[in-house]
Amino acid sequence: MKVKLKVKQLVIGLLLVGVLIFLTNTVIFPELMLRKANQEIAAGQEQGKGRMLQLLDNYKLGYKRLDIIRDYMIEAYDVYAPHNTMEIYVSPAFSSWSHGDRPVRFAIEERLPYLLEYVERAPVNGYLFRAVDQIVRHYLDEKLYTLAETLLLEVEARKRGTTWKNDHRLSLLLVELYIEQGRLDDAEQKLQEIQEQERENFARLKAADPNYPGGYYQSEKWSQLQVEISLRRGELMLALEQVDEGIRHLRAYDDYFNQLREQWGEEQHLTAIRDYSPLDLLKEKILHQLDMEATSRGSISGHISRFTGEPLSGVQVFLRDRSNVNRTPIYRDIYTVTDQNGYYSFQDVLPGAYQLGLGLSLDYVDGWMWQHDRYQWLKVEQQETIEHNLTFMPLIDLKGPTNYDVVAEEQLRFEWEEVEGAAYYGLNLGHLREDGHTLVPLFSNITQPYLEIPVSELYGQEFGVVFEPPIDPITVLSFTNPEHTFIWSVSAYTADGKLLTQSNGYRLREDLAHNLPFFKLHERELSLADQLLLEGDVEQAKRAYLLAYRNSQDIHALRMLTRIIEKDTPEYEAYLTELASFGQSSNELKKVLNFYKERNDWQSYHNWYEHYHQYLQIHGIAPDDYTEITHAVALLQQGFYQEARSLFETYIPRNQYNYYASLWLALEIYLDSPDDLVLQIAENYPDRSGLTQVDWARTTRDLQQAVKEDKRAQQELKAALEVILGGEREGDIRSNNVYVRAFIHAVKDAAFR
Amino acid sequence: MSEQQRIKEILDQELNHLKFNRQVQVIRRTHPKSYADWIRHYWNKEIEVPVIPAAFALLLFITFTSGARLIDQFSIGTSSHIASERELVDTGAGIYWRDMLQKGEQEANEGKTKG
Repeated sequence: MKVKLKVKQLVIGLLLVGVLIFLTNTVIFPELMLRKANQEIAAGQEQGKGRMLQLLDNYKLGYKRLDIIRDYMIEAYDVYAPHNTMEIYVSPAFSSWSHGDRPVRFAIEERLPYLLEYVERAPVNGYLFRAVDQIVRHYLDEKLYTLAETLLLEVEARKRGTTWKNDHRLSLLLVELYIEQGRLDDAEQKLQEIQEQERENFARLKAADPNYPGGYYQSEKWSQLQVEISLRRGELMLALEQVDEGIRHLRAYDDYFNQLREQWGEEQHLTAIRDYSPLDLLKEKILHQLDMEATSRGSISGHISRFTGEPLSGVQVFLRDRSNVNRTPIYRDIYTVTDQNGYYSFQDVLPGAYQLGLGLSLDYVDGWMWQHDRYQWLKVEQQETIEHNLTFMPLIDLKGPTNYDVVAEEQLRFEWEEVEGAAYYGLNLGHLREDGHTLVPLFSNITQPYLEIPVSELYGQEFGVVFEPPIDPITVLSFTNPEHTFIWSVSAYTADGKLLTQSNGYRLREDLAHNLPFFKLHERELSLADQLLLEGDVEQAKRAYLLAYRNSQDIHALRMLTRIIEKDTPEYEAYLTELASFGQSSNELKKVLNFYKERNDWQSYHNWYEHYHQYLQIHGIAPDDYTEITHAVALLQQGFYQEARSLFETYIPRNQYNYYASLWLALEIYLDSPDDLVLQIAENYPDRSGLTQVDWARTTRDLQQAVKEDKRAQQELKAALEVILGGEREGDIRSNNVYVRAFIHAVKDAAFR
Repeated sequence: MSEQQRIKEILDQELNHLKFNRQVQVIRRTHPKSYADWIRHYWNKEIEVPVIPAAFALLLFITFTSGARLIDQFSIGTSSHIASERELVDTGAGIYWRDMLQKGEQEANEGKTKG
């Protein structure tokens, strides 16, 4: 087949094709490439990175170029980094992962040339500052101080005369740089310059509006750096003055903002800007240093490995203190990365209490758990190296019931893989809801890798306390609901209550997820009354339960009645004891115990305590720490000091919560135990139940010193302790001694909250 | 009158109302003499192009210049793309991929109906 063409038609045709190809290559092609790289990066595909770099290297991209650099090289790298380059962050306080989409991140080395290009070509703006910030932090890591200083000075000169002239973040970064170099005088001078500028700004504002409140602006960071300079010079008293001044500035500013917010009528919960600022913590640390007469710093180092000995390299280790332990790390938080052999170290750490957070990839935790104790703090003292090794333990494998097993028998057997070195296991149970889950520790001190209990034991347990109204039918029914899917997990502990490992963790590989910890209870069916309850008709349900109980002694109906009727009625006591006398569940016996303990009805209390222990013995269930410790408290209130002491000694060291340890401490002081022993209890078992964090060791030491020579204070202390041990919550503390008052106050806060 | 003459007469008659007035240009085109004439001659020269080989050549050319890269841009990776859309679920008793949980539930349900 042939076509006839004139030469001119052919030539024009070919030219058109050429133009099309040219346009495609210069405009359409980069646009498509950008789009694809974008999709790949968002979808977590590594090749997106290469494509983006290729695009930037091979095409000019016109006005879009700076936008691309901004979006892909600057944005998001200072807010979330560095841990966001990792898939998950774990810390003793909590664990978090980036949800589903894990965007690909460029390393700073890859971004550096483009960041420099952006800084050179873009006008002064917030992104430019952020780019400079990221570059300088990289230079600091690489110890390229001159490059960092040159860049900072250059940009500082550029921002003069622009609307950004009052943005001090880069100047403060320069101060940080000087401090790191040890150029403390330069750092101080720069801080003064900033302060001078802020004073001028304030004077101008005040001149324009005589009602303009407050003083000049002094940022948190500014104060932190000022204090840091004094600390480096060893001028602790000056540092303390400065930190106080910083806190004063901060509060004044917060107050001013709160006033504004109130004027604007914003919601109340927004008004609390800062509860606990890094400055407060810094102050604590300075006080501690003054206390210890410390002038130098300490360090923390250690090793991260699997239980098998395999070192974990490339793990980000974050140094967390109380001001930031409950949030994910941000870009400026202190961190390091483990080397090839899994070692990490932090030098120059201010004396104080720390925890470690880890940023790692899912592979590292899939099937493994990191041994941690949320209450354990690493206490760094001056010139001291704390060695802290972390071991990843394999997760416990569950044997059954699993994979939605349906349990229809009257006995229920939980079984799991035995853990080497475990003294006790704890069993947690709960249920899966559409919007989340509930999991409660129900059985503890289990010495075998299994627990066999009657199903009724679970029926008597509850997911939580029902506060009324409104009544949540799901919680009321708890384990008696055959339609629910229940979940369970196991934790293994050493003899001294340290968590060894657990079943609950990341299970992403197919072979780790073959035993899903879900089961159903089909031993009973939903009654009509249950259905009414689930439909939300609590009154009708109550009537139906009452009827069922009166006519046919239905234990389930009685059980539900105890959960939905009001607690201060005479019927409640009758139903509660009636139900407990059936001996169906340890929880129901505990509820009766608690009922009589609150009413100081000791005769009934002891009666039921015996019943409770008989029940445990029959069913082979170990007593739990909390009930035994509260029993000790009940004994204290009746004056049985020695019996209470022996229970405290057995049960408080067995778990990490240390409930009522403050009363144990009070008891030992009351019984004139040697100071060392008392101090040991304060140090090893700090009661954490109080509203305020108490340094029990310090409070106790202060008390011991204060009353040593003071007969009167000793008597006052004894009298106050006797009142507290007797369970008296109210009443004033009669003592002129501040340390006696502080101690008694702390015990009251912890024990009677 | 020969046949030839007869046809010529008919032709003359039929073309009587048409007049040729650009003989010079026509002759220039058919018998070019100057440089410009030569260009014009070739510019308007009719050629026969074989469709299939020409189209093939053009396609090859486009492919080499940008086509392959274009196709590459349009195709988005499939398997790994889906993998990254997997979602983690914290069940309280373990953290799993959602699809694995769903699979487990499905298998459990199937087991029940069979049993």
